[in-house]
Amino acid sequence: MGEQRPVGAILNMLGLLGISLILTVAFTYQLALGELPCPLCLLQRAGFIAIGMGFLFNMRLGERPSHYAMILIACLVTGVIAMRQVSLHLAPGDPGYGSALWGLHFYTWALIAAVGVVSYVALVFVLKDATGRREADEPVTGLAPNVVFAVFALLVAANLLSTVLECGAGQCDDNPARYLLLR
Amino acid sequence: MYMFLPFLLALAGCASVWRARAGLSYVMWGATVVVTVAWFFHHATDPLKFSF
Repeated sequence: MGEQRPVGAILNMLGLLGISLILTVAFTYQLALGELPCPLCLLQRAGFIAIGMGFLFNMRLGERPSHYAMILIACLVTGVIAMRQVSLHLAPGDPGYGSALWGLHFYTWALIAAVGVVSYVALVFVLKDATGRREADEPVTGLAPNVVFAVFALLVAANLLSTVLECGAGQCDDNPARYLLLR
Repeated sequence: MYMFLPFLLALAGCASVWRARAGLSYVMWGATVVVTVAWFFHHATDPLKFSF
């Protein structure tokens, strides 16, 4: 029997997995449907990556209140960017930007997800309190955390590569139609 | 304005975490957020027709 992981470690790993899932869905739509992300879409992805980094810090550097604060700050940034894009397409008759998933566009999902992560962090605090493990501040190691870390790092690298291909060394078009560096 | 910069900084942050360099990781996270917010203000230029 291996040593039992503290609940905070498991919940932070699940949080990072959730962020990786969000980035994977966005990437799937980009590659499968050829929908290039707009500048605000890319900034929302960057926001989710910043949220994921907070979970990653808790996993690999030890659980700290400041890491949770980083998650919440990144949620605010991501939520504000998403809210701005929702506002741009709020008018009646506006078809929105990009395709929709279960009736909602991705920027709307981004706003819901940002609020969801805030709620998730609140749940983490409650569960840690309820299980009596408030001081679990040691980093977690092992195969599962390493795999979750590798998947997240791979998605960050893939987003970097994709953004370089799409925008080159400048700013992206507001409605990008093709990858700038791919002819 | 380099659109890829937030992702580059975040990747550097991941590399710092891998090497267990906490201080550098925090700096990279902060830089990622600051650049993301700066790029947001650069792009959010269209006026919204709302009144409250």
